[in-house]
Amino acid sequence: MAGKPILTTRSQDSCFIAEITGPRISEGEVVEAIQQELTRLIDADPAQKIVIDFQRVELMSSATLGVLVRLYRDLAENGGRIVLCGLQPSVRKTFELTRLDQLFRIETDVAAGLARIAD
Amino acid sequence: MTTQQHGGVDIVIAEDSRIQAKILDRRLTEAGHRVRWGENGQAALDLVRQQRPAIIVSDIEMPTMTGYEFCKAVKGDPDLRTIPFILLSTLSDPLDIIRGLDAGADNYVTKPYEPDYLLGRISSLLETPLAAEEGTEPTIDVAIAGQTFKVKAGRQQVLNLLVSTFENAVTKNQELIQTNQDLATAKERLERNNRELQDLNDRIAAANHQMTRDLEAAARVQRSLLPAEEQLTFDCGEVAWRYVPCQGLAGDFLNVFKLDDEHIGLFVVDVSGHGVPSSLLSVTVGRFLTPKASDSSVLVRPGENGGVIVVPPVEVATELNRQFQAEDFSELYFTFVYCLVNTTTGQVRYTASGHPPVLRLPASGEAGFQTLHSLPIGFFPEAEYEEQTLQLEPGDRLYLYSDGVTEAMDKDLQQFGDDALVEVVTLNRSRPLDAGVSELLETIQAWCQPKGPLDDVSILGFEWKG
Repeated sequence: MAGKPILTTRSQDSCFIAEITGPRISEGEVVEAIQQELTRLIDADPAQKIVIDFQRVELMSSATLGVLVRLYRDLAENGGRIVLCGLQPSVRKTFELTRLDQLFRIETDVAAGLARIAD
Repeated sequence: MTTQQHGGVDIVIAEDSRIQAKILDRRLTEAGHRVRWGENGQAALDLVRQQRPAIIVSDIEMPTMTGYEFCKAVKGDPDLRTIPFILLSTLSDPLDIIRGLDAGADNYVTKPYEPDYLLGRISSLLETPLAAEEGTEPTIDVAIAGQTFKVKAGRQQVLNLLVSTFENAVTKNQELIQTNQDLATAKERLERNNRELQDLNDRIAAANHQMTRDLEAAARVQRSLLPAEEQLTFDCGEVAWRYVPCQGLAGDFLNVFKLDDEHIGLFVVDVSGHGVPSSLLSVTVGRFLTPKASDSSVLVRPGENGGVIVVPPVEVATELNRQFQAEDFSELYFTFVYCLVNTTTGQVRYTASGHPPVLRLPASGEAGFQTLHSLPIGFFPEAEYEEQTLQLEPGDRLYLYSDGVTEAMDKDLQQFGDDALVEVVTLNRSRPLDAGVSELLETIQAWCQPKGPLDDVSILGFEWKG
């Protein structure tokens, strides 16, 4: 895992697409790296529109949920938006269990995510 | 004839090293003298013969003509012998003095020389010009190092040379004393640094020791959040539990309490993250999940006549969420599952806040998850929680557990999963509850080989006897 970025970002249609590249977001430092990178995006523009692509993620720790909720709150307060996409069944289950699937806009893939965020 | 203008004089230097010659040239020029340089004794002698200098400074070891030979040639020439002659010597051998005397040198300056010292020697030699009859005295016998030398030299020359040699020795001695003092100072500093380093090491070791003890104490505090025994018997049923933190300190904890004559409460808490911050929050939450009716308990409230009022699960979750907003706890939140069992009727009220659902294994029939979708504790102050009810029949079992059970991963990142959980508890249905819980833990630990579980594993089983 050393040296390999856990999150890559690119901008498209005035949105940021953040792709999580690891299969596993469990170790504390991985969660922290993701948090720092996403916080950087919000610091640059508090009304940021961010699509987070989870398609490669097979396992997500509970701490990651905390990061995402914080992100959601920060963006919502400033007119920003966040859409999650590409959730694998095990990750999706975590969102359902915690009812966060009701909070986040969730789409199947990046294209649908971009369409949703533009709404 | 000396050419003395503006305090500066004409000096011939003999030095075979170009670098050393340049350095010497610069020193003398800076002092106001005019310098002519010969790269060996012969070249310098030619310069001396071309024009008589006020003083000669010569190295000793040089090709073609050495400093001694050069000096002898000057001192042997009646026209030149009153020119003061300084030899730059290492003075490594007492015989150097004899060679210098024999050559007729007026002064020794040892290399490496202090520029000021050399300039001082030049000044004093210029101030005491040699008499014209110098060097015409008869031969002197000099005994040194067990040998007798016949040296032909003037008295003033001998005196100058010996005084300069003595001065050199004194200077060198002073340098030695200074060096010794410097060494002693350096040694002291080194010893002081060593002591400071040792002191620092001791302090780090002490801090480490303290930290280890603190962590052990914290782990003990955390164990106090767990039931005293792994197997507990109530009138209405059995409890068995297992708890394995993935680090020394965990975010998980579980417990089971008799709340009053009619109720027992079972719960599992899973604080997000691991390690010290998570365990601190879990200990704090644990203080609220106590069966002692007090202001802090969210499970029971003081009732009339010293009795207690058991708080319904949905209110417990709501109150915890009110008290523990993640913003106030470094963004840490937790999930919570709670079963309140009526020990008379076998009715169970349960709630789950973002937590894996209770698994119910009936005495006969298929196991089923009692799924409730609710937000974890701490995300939103206005979050609403719900509770549901189930009716236990004799022999029914309930399993409360953390996501460290179902999300335990094998080396290929395959999760243990709900199906495996159902399979293991069902397989162990006919065995005692404690044996079944123990088997479940062992199966999970085997699943996670070789690395072991990456998350805390909590399992709390309950069997209703009726």
